Amino acid sequence: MKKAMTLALGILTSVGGFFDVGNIATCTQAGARFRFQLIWALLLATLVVIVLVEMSGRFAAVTKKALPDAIREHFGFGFWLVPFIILTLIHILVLGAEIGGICFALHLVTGLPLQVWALPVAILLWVFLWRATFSTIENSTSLLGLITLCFVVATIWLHPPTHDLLQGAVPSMPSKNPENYWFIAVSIIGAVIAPYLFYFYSSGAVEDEWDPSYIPVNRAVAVIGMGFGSIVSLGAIIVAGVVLAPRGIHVDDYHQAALMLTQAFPYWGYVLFAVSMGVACLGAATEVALSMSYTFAQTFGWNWGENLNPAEDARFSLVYTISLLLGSLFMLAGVDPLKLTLLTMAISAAVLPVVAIPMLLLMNDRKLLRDAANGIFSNLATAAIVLLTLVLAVVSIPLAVVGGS
Amino acid sequence: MSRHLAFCAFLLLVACSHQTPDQQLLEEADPLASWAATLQFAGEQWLANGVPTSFVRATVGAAEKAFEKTNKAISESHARQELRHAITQQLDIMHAAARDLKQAIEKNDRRMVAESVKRLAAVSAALQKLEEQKDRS
Repeated sequence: MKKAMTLALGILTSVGGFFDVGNIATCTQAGARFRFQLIWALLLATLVVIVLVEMSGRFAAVTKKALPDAIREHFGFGFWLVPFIILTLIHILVLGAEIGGICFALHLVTGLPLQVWALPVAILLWVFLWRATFSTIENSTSLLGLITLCFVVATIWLHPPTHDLLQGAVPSMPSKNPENYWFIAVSIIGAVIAPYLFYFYSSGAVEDEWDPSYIPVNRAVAVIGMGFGSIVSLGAIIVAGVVLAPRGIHVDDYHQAALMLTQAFPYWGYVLFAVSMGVACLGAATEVALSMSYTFAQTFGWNWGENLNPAEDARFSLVYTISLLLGSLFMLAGVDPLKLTLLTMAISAAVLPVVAIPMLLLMNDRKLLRDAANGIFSNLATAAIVLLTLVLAVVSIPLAVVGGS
Repeated sequence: MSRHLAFCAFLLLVACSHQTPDQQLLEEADPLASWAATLQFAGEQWLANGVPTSFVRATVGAAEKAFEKTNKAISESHARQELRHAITQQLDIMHAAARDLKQAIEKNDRRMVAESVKRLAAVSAALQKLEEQKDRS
């Protein structure tokens, strides 16, 4: 019964928690510029994220260790130090982008400038993290995140041409702006395969006290939850493709994206967009801040756990406190939230090997994982993923220079 | 492997950065058509009570930043005089229409908003023609 509940809740939270600022930015840009032509990038990224999430959950269930903890222990502190520094910077950038998304949603609702909201949002997030337990954070934000299903409802409402959608599922060359096309493709992949996701997911599995009997649950959550979760992102591409692209509206600024639901929901579309963006970014911001704390605590061997009282893991709590403060500085400084998001997604794509390669090595350690170690199929899939991440690592930054808007 | 990929990325960078002054200017002016269409859509939605006044005000503000950027690009461009003139002309019309749209929504003048929306639609069409010129070149 408990496992059935975990499964149901896991799927719901995966659906509700899939969408974040990176998905909003990249998917709306993709749809507005290239209609349905970049659906394949989202499908590819979803396949990859399913494989990696399943592995990180399986690893945590069997070893009762989260990934950063295991990487440091297995490969040594020296090996882990460089990835740790890179990932810390990525965490801060992603957190800045997510806080930017919440501030923009509040700007849409109130009309007040983004800068005004930066500190109140950081404080709100901090109070939430300080007071709540892991399951409260995970379940409440992700269940609220189900509001983002409005993109799926809008898709059904707008009757997109099925033939064009199916064509978009197959990679094709663009008729114009190839550099922008590939930049957005890479950014979609960087947004879906967020490096923090695996550390958060495996740490969460440890917090929820998973054991090997949770492996089937983990597999179902990864496949069904992530699979359905990506439907929201798919909805964003399609709605932007149906509403913004024919009007010639490109998303160079979030204000342009804010109009995308108004055709499907004439009166509520604007509010739905603002609430979806706010809730999706709120959930993601808490996950990123926690992931940062997990990574620090596991790297330095501190006490950690969101279920503990902050007094019992003061350094863990201090990390998310500082990271929230740092994350809010981008909006305080007046950085454009969309530009920050797109840059962050390109950098996230560039650092994916840092996450994927140690994971591949750990998943083959039979001493650690025994029967749950990767088989031939999983290793082939991971080798393909590592290859893909290496390609992304090389092309993402040059593409951001020539193709970023 | 990584070296080959880095080389391909470098080639892509070089290939994409080699543009004539006309192409460069058209590229810089690319967001204008999109902003004209955005303001038109925002005005239509305001008339349909789909978006609040504060949103249109902020969107006009964001568009004006893009206008300034394009204005600067035009003044620094070595593109043909006639192309610079054509873009400047559309930019001026669009700037005026955006300003009128902002004033109209502040005054809650629906007739004036509808007029601004029409002007923006005309600018959007003209700019999209210029964009097609870039795609052909």
